[in-house]
Amino acid sequence: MSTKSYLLFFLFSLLTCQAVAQTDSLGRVGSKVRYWNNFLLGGLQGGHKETSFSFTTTHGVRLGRLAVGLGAGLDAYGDWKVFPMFASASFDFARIKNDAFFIQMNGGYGRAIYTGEERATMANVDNGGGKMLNPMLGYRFKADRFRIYLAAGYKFQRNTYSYNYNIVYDFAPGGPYDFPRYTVQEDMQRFVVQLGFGWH
Amino acid sequence: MDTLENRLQRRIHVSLYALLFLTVLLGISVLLEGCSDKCQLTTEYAYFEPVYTTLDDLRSSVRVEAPKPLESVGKIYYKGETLFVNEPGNGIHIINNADPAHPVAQKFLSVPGSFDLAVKGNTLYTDSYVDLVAFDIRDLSNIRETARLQNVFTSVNSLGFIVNANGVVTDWEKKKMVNLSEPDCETVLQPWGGVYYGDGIALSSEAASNFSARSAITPGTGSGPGVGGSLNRFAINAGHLYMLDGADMQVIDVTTENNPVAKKRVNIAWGIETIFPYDKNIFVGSTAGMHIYDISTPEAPVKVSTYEHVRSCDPVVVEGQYAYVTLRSGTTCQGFNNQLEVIDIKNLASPQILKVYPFTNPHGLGIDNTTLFICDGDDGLKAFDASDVNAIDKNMLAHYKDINATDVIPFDNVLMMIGTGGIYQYDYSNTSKITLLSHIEVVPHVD
Repeated sequence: MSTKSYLLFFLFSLLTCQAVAQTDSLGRVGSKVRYWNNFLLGGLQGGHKETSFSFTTTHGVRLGRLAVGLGAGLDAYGDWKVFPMFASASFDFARIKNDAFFIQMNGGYGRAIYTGEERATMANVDNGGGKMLNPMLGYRFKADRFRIYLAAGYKFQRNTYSYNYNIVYDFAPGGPYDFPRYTVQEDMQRFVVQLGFGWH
Repeated sequence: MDTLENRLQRRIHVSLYALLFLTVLLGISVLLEGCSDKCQLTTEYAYFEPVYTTLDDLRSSVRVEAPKPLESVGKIYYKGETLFVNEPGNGIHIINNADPAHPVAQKFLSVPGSFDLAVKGNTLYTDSYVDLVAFDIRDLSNIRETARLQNVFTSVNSLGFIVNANGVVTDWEKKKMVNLSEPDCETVLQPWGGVYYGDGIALSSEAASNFSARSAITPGTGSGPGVGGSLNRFAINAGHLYMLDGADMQVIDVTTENNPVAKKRVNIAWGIETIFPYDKNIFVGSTAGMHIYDISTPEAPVKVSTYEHVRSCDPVVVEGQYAYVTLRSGTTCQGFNNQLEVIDIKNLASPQILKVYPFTNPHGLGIDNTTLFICDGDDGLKAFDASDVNAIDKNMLAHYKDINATDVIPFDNVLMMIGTGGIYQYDYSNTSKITLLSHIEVVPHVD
C-alpha cells in the first residue's frame, strides 16, 4: 500500500473511533438542518516548488455532525488558473462545545484556463480541465457569530488540454505543413493549507 | 474517579495529537512523493511510407511519346525554332515555335526525374535524378538517347530527392494512423510538423489531408518552382555544360555532343541556385550573393569575385557592363527584400552596386538590347527601357497585370514567359506596343 493509502485508511479509522466516543453529555448542537457555508483562502505548495493561492467557497446544509454542499473556487497552477466546481461532505469527528475537528472531502471538476504567454512551441492553447479531488483535515472554532476554519490537505487536479506549434519550417518533403495538435494530460498534486470563515 | 471532565480532556488530547500526526504525515507524504506533476503528451499521425523505384527501372523507362497537355511548367529552353519545356519530374515537351503566335506541340520526351535542360547543336541534355542524359534531336520524329553519365549528380538529396540503395522515392503511400506518446511534455517533436517513424514519415491528420506525394518527390530549388532563362541550373558556354549540383558546379565537356565527359567539379558555396553564362564568364546566383567565375579555360573555372547581398533568392542576368539581380522574399527564400539590384561589373574583380529598385515580389528576369523584363510574381510582367540604368523605374514600357509571372526568355523579339497559367509569348519588336502572341495553358494533373 502506498503512503497515501495508509493515510486515507488512518483517516477513516479515526472517524470510527470518535463516533463511538460521543454521548449526550458532550453537549449537542442540535439535530435540526441548518445552512452551512465556508470561505477558505490559502496556498498550494508543490509542483516546481512554487507556492500559489487557492480559494474555495462551499455552501450547503448541516445536519448534526454531517454537512453536505456544493462549492466552487479558484486555484493557481503556474500558467493555468483552475476553477473547480465540486461536491463537498464534511464530518465533525471530535467536538468540544461549539468547536470541532472535521474531515472534509471535496470532489468534482476543475475548468482550466491558460493564462501564460503564447510562444512558438505552445500556441493556440485550448482551455482544459479535469477531475479534482481534495481531502482536508481541519479545526473549526466559534468566534462571535462566525466560525473560523483552519484546514490542511491534499489536492489533486487533472488538466487535459491541447495546443500546437507556431513555427514555419520549409524543408519538409512536400511541405511546409501545419503542425499537429498535441494533447496533454497533466496530473498536478499539491499540499494545501487554508484559513477562512463561515456560518455554522 | 474518571469524571466526565477527565474523559473529555482525554478525547481532546487524543484528537489534537491525531490531527498533528495526520498533518505531519500529509506534509511528508506530499513532499516526498506527491508534489511532482506527471505529464503525458500524445498526438495522432498519418503514417506514409516511401515507394521506391530502382535506378535500373528508371533508366529503362525513357520514352518518346505523342504530345500531351502541359501539366506543370518548369525550365524552358529555346533553340532554333523549337521550344523545349520541362515538366518537372516527368520530362520535356517539344514544341514547334516557328510561328510564336501558333505554337504546335510535337512530342513529349518522358524522362523520370527531369528538372533541368540545355541544348547544344543537335543534342538535348537533361537530368534524370542522378544521371545526365543526352538525346539526339536532329530529327524530332526520331529522338534517341545517345549517352548517359550515371551518378554524376551527387547532391540530389539537397534538392529534396531521396536516393539510396533502394532506389529513388517516386511516391509516398499512406499506410495507417499511429499515436505517438511522450512522457515528457517539454519534448519538441520533429520541428517541421511531422516525425520520422519507422521507414517513413508521419504527419498530423490536418497535414495528411493536404499532403501531396507529387510535391513531396519534386525538389524545391530555393528559387521557387524554377523555370528557364534566369532560373536555370544548366548553362552551356564554350563547348561545355556547367551544372549546379548542391554546393558545387560540375563541368561537362560536350565538345563531342553525344559523348559528354565529366570534368572538374568546383566547390562554390551552399545556397547556389541559378547560373547564367556571359562572354567568358559564368555568373552563379545564390541566397547570399552572386559568384563570378572566369571560364577562359572552360574546364577549369576560376573564381573572380563574389558580390554579397542579404539572404534572398536571386536570379541574375548580364548585359554589357551591368548585372541585373532580383531579390525576393518568400518562405523558401527566407528573405525580406523585394527589389532589383543593378551591379556594375566593369571590373569583375570588384562588382559594385549601382542602384536598387523596389518591386513587389520579383522572380526571373531577362534582358535583350537594354529592354529589361521583370517577372514580378502576382503583380505580373513588367517591361522597362534600361538604357539609363539610373532611371529604370521611370521608363516602364508595359505592365501586364492579372497574371503570375515567374521567368522569361527574351530572344529575337519574342518574349517567352512562364507563369502558373502556362507559357505566354509576346512580340516586343515594338517596345512601345508589346503584344501577346500566344498562350499555352497548363492543365493541372488530377490524381
